[in-house]
Amino acid sequence: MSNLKYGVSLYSYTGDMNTVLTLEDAMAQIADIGATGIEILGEGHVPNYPEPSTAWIDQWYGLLEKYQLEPTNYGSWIDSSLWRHRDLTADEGAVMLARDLRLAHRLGFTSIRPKIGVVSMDLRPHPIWEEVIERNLDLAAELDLIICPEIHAPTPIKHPVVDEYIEFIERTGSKNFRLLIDTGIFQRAITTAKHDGLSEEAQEEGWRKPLAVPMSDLVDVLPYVSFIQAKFFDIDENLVDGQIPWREILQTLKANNWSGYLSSEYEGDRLPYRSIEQVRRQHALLHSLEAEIAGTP
Amino acid sequence: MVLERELIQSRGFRNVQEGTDTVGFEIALRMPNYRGVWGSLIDGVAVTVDGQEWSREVPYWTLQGRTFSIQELRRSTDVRWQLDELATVMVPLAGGLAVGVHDVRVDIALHAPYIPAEFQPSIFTSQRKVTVLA
Repeated sequence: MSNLKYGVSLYSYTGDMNTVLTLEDAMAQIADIGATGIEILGEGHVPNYPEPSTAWIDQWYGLLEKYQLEPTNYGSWIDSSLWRHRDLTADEGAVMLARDLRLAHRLGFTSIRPKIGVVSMDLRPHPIWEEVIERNLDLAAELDLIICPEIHAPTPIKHPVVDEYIEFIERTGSKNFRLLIDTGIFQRAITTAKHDGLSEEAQEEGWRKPLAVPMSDLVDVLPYVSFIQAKFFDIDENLVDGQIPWREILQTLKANNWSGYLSSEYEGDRLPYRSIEQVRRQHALLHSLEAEIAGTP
Repeated sequence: MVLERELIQSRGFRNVQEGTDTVGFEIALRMPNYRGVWGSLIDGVAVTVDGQEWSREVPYWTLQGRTFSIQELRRSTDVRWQLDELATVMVPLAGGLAVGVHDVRVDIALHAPYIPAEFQPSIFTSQRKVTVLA
């Protein structure tokens, strides 16, 4: 039986965080739409990362309690080209991931997404990835954390990068390494939303191009998927999303008995307060679709 | 403390004194990215004030209470620019800026290792009028 849970990533509120929203404001917004999960970016939302004060950690737990939210996924990075003059070594990468695993655990998270630096236009991860992850599998097991790299546009599911991750799961037999799917890979139509900092060339090369991965490809990897980032760009006043095929996504998850979190990642225009309204619309849309699918004989 | 939405903050825009001399001016900047980054991922900031330009190689950076040249910052290992902390950039300019309103533009360059090198660095641009009081 499929059990879908709904959460929000603070990534959704990029630009609004620290300018018009405090952490508590964001949590109040998430609770107000009936979502139960909160996703954060360690390097984005933890003051004084990687060494938050105990006062902040107490505040974090106090707010989770107040707004009845559970920590879901913690975004981390393995910045393989941290310097101009040399690459990160596997040793340094392993230390970095271990530090984030411990911090994620300390904050109550059960899932961690390391974003790994790339070495090619088709986003092959830096070759240190395998050693960095493998050396942390025991720690992840000890801390009860699932490490899940994200499958993100312009990388589709049928791609050597995903094949390598699945081979790694099969080879190690670890329950602590899975896949995270970013629903941006299912994008069917172009978006005009502006992505700050990304050049026009990069956007044209695929970061904003509809990749339109078919649902059958999702079905193939679903047994390996532990978390879904519900990426979207714009939902109109009639609750229509012109880019992401939510009905098909939810039907596929339901039909294949997938259980887990759909965590909102709003990535549209960054106008003050827009993210708040857009996330509300997305949850209204997802809930109505789920009810509709449940009512279908 | 809540930060201004604009990357260029109103507060913190001022001339810098060294003894009795005015040696430059400072601008406080909000992190333009969706995450904070290690200092070595900062490629620099080009600054333009009323049409006069300074390249990314010129401004000094103060992060978490420590000051670096951009060349030092690119090799640093233990300093960050966080989402909730302002960076102060200092542009050397003998005599500083005149008291009053200035048209300031910054082009902040950051590296994102998960985006192919061909598209790096990411450039975040912001321009606004801000006021020097002294």
